[in-house]
Amino acid sequence: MDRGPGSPLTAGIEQEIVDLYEREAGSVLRYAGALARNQETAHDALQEAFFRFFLCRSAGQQIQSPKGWLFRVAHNYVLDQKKAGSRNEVGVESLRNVPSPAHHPEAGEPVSDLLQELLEIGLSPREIECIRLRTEDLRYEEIAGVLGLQTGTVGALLARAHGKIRKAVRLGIHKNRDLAQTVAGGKRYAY
Amino acid sequence: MVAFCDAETGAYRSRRIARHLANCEGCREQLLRIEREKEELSAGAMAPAIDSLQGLAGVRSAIAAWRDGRSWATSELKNRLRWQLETYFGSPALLEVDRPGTQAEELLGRTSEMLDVFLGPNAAEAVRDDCLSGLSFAGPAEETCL
Repeated sequence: MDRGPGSPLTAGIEQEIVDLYEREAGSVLRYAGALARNQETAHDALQEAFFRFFLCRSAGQQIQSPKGWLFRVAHNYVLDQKKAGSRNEVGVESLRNVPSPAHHPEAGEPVSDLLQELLEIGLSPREIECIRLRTEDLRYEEIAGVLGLQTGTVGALLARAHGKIRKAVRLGIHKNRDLAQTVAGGKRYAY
Repeated sequence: MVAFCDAETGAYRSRRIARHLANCEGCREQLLRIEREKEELSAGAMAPAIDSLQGLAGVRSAIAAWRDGRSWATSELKNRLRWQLETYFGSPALLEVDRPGTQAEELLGRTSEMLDVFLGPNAAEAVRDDCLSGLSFAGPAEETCL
């Protein structure tokens, strides 16, 4: 099969990428940004996801849910970068003998004010992840694919998170005026 | 109920829930409350902040560099795939799959098929991720920056 530049197959894949980019790049970038809390890493994750999409499609791979696939690649990329970053940070900190910043026990990473607030109302990191992805209109099955969970677990996590947020709003625990924007990283809270 | 609001309960369960809702005022109220809460929490929608043209240009540039066949990524991917093939299937299988003139995309396709069968789709996906990691950028930054 001709896979060279200009071949019908290649042109079709390129068009697929352009369409997909216009449709999904914004949400993938927003999600990666919220996850990485670093715009440079988020842009790298976006480029990595689309380039891998090109490679896999060029290799003949059928991708059932391109949107979920892109989110999964971006998610893994950001986590890899964070792991690599935290390894370096630990090294530098131990050399300087400086106390490390507050770390969340599960994630093993510094906790931002924003995340701290969500953790304070009792949302687990997994629940926060589910909400972020649902906010980007991913279906439960796609969220499960990104996070490596069962679809039923996603439903349970979202229902639990909904209950916690409702309770927090009722009791006025959260400090932010608009919790929706907090959770969604600035977008609509879709679930 | 949250999953029902998200249209994620499937046809059978949705029909059952809808039947139940028709006869249960308490659950109808709960459903309305969840929908109302979702609406309230949806306030503050923002458009994605992205320069599509610039971002797409970056992806196209990576694709173009790949296609000219002389990029670091092409040979790097081939090496990574060869290593995986040899690890899982041995040298004879590698020689069979990686014939002279085989393009990187072809090698990726063949390796993927073999790994899918041998390891199952999830583990094969993880190996593929490993092989494809970091190829979209100009070169091995960790090595060149030092």
